[in-house]
Amino acid sequence: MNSSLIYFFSIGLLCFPFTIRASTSSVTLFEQITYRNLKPDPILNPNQEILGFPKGINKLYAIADYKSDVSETLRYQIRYRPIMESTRTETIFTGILDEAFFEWKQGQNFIYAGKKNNKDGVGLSANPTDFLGENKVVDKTKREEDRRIQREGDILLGTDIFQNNMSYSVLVSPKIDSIQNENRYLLKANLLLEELQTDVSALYFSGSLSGIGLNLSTTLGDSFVIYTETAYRYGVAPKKYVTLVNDATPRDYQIESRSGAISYVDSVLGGHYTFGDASTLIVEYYYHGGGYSSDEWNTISDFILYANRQYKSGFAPALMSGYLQQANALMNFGSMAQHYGFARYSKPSLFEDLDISFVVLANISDGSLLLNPYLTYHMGENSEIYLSTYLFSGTETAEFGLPNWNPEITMGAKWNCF
Amino acid sequence: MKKMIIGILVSMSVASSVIAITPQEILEKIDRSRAPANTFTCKLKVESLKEDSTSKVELLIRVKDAKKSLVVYQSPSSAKGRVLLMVEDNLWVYIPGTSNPIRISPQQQLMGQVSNADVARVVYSLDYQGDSVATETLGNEKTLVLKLSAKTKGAAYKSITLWVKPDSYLPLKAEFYALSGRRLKTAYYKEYKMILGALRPTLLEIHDAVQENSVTTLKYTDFTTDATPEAFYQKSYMERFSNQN
Repeated sequence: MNSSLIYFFSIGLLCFPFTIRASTSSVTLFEQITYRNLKPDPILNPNQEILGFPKGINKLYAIADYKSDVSETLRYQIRYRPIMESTRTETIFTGILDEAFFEWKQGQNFIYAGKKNNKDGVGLSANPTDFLGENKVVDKTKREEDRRIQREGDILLGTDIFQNNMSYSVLVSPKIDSIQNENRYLLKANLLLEELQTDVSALYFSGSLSGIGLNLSTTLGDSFVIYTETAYRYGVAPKKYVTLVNDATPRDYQIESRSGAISYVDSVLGGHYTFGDASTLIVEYYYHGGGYSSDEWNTISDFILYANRQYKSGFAPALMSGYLQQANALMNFGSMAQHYGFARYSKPSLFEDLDISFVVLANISDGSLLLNPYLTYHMGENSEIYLSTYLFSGTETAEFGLPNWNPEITMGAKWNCF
Repeated sequence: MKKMIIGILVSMSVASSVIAITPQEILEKIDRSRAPANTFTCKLKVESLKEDSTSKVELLIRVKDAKKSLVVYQSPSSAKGRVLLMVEDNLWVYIPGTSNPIRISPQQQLMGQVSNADVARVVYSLDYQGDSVATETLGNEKTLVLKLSAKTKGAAYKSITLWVKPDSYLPLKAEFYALSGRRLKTAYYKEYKMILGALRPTLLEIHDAVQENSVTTLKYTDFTTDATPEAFYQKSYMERFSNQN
């Protein structure tokens, strides 16, 4: 089974020969231009010589949904994203099938099979208990909530069992060559404690990096929501470590995963307050036990500085270029450190049709910042235009001082066709 | 003389009927006129009118035992499939495409002068208690004026003043007040129709207390007493409601 087979399987579903009781479809079209102000001499890419980054990216894409009830007890659902991405030098066409699954209903219980975008967690800036979705490719030019929508699902078999104020789920996602590289399963229990105005989710995940998760969220008064999301992880982490193997000249660094088992805790604690003028403030603290410690980060900083200085001095350029390429591949901005602070202030309907928001993501360990003002102008009921800027601030080896460009500006239009 | 005696008797009758019924009982009668049953479904069109713009949202509302409600967005297409779930004071929103509903506060706005709680909560007696009742003339009509105060932490307003018809307890007007005592908005109940065996208001016109030109209307239609299993009124089921129209 490969990705093209799944694609044709989903197209086949569109022509499903049974009599359809009811169906709904929708298509949303996006046109987005991203401009990156490339730094002339970034530390990870001296004189922009190691890697070539496009200054401008044009992305035209659509999200197409089709949902159909075949009978009282059987339905299927498809989500497909065709994408055309262009830079000055090339245009790439891709199609991503996010979802294509059947679901059978038996009383208050459901069984589903196919490709499904499962999402767990209550946090906004990070979701430590989103075990099945944690390694998905996401578009970081999108707002946090949109990143969850526009991502590819997993091929799985699952069941949901509903009782009053409680539900249980079992999901099995098998290893499939070239698509899913390991067998995973997830057990979930959701419970609402009505009197305490609190909901609880407990999760158990089995995979190469297994996990136990707990999510809690509660409402205080009419304006305040607080939540916490915690995962205990154990097993083999995919994280890559930088090790100085030999301090000779040139230095010998190794960048690789470690095979031994590790364990750590990831946790988000947050709150969400609605003001009288309908504006909202979300504040979160994220403890990322899986991130690099101060010592590990110092080694990475030394490694980058060493490779940069030696490359610019002309010493062992091929080796230093290789080191810098590996350093660039390590970068996963926003989830590398152990302590983050996140805040988002949003004001809807300013001057009636304008929504504004301002996000600050702070690496508490090194004091670097990512700032993201975001404007959305609603043009009628079904279309909007948006403007977003990512501004990075920090010293040259701090996390948000490292990106090869600053700022990044994205503007786009969204049209709900039907 | 005869007319005067009849007048006195009628006045005594009205006064005694007011005294005989408590503010809380009046509130429950008002709720029964607003909602046809504890469990029902209906459609709601919310229209927000401002000086030079109009926005519309069409919703399907399912209510279970008065205290659990589901609101499914049917239009515009930018919001289609979005679901709100309210269980007591717990409120979540589901955005299509992700199976992860988010807990939100009752105060968050739906559109115009309408908060999520305004739409999801169809009765007053769950969140408010009747404190006092008096008589007052509204326009040319004699009315009972009922003062309500919040009894739950999740109540969207500190207090509400309701004007109702003294004979039928049908609501005519309501004023909503913030914690500070400031009036936030005024609502007028209109277009009474026979629905499921009783006369009920089908149009609610809400005027902002500050921006006087800003008006939001809520038009209720297609009432039925369809029941949805209670187990489905929970956040992990919201994605499936999103598929319904």
